[in-house]
Amino acid sequence: MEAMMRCPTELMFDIFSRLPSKTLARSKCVSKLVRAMIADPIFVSMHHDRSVSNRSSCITQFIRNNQTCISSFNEEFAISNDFMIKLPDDDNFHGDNVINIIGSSNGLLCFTKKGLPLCTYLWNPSMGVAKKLPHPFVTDLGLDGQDWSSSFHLTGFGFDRESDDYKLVQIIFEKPDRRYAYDCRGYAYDISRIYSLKTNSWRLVKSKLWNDFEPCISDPPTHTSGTCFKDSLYWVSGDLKFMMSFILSNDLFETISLPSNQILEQGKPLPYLTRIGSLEKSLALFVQYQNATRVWFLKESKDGVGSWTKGFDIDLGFLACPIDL
Amino acid sequence: MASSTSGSSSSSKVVKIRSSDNENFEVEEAAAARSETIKKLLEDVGDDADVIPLPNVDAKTLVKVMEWCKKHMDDVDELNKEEMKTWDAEFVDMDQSCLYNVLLAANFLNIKELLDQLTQKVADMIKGKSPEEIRATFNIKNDFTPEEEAEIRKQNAWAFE
Repeated sequence: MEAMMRCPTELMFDIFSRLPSKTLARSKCVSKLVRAMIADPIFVSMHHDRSVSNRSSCITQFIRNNQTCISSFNEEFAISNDFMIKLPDDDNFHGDNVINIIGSSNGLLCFTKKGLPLCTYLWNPSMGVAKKLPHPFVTDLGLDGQDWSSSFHLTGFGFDRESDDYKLVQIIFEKPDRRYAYDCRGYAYDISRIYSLKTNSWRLVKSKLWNDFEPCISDPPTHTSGTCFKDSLYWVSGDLKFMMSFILSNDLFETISLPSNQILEQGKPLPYLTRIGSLEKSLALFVQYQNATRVWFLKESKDGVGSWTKGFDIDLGFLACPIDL
Repeated sequence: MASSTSGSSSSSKVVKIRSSDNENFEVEEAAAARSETIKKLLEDVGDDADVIPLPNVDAKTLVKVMEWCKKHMDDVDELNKEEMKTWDAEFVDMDQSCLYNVLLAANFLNIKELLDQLTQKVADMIKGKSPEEIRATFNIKNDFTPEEEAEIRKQNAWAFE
């Protein structure tokens, strides 16, 4: 075992960037040099790029035996421990149903801790670093001091490659004086706020939301999380007829039709549990039925209009949120 | 050495390379040129090259590296892909000191595909290993105090389960 010595730094980077997160976390106590290497931003992005390109499957949060698990699946949809991640080792985040995962992108996980005041965190599982986001103070928004904290909003977290920045988007849906509006149609304020990690601050965006977009409201109706795929965030409409996307680089909304007829042909989907994720480098729609989850893929065609094709069924209980870590 | 079946006349040309322990080898140019370093040297010296010295690679390692280069001389067609995969897997299955030498040689000779296979092999070897085993593999000295190490282990307890 004496052979491996004086390995040049670039080779150490290369070798360690091929390791699963779990071995990396363990390696932090190998030596100070190795620990510094794992924390190096160049290494972090190299490791992330590699783990994404080596992975044909997605990482997903799901609930099994009443426990929240986050894991990846191999081709057979068996659970693989290679990409298993744990939340920060802080008592605040443990226990039943304490956090909501907003989303994940390019190696960072965004989640909120339940209860008021609502606190949002970013978590880097490879490095074990958590950051608490500043509260989007109402006065900062210039909205006459109204308290929007309990308003229903669509939210999404993603990495925008164009500005090289992580963004958290919240689209506020409810009039401030209405708590828990189940029927949000007509109540959209056309106002969104965006947090940027680079500036560590929030800003307001006035983009036109798709008028007929009726969000898929979860219970409790505090927020619905979108999914980030290729620099855009996606949310499914409540009627499963289309999804709305928000382009992170230019703050614009777009819509894409869903294969609603095909979805209904397969049976009655359980309400609120349809999710979007990425699988095999395509946008994927996970529809939850009574006994199975079916996956559709959006295949991109040359004219830019994609078509949905049915993939396969998975049987894992409740899929909460596909994760890109 | 048998002439190559490919059309270009230069591909059957033979170049001479010399290892750090002064052993000379004759290798087909197409094989040697898998190394970006040798390719660059050949371009620089042109046809005047007598022997290309490789001061960082010993004969035993050079034989191994050239074995890989000869196998990967031609582009692989779809039919041979599986066969090549098996060959590659057997090739990197060598003892650790040999693997280390070939790894450094591939780095120096700048053979990207071989380097990829070797770093992946080393990564596979240490995947799931304990910090002690990783230290042993790379001959790394633990410079943490026991208290510091205990603290890092505590912070990353999930990874040790």
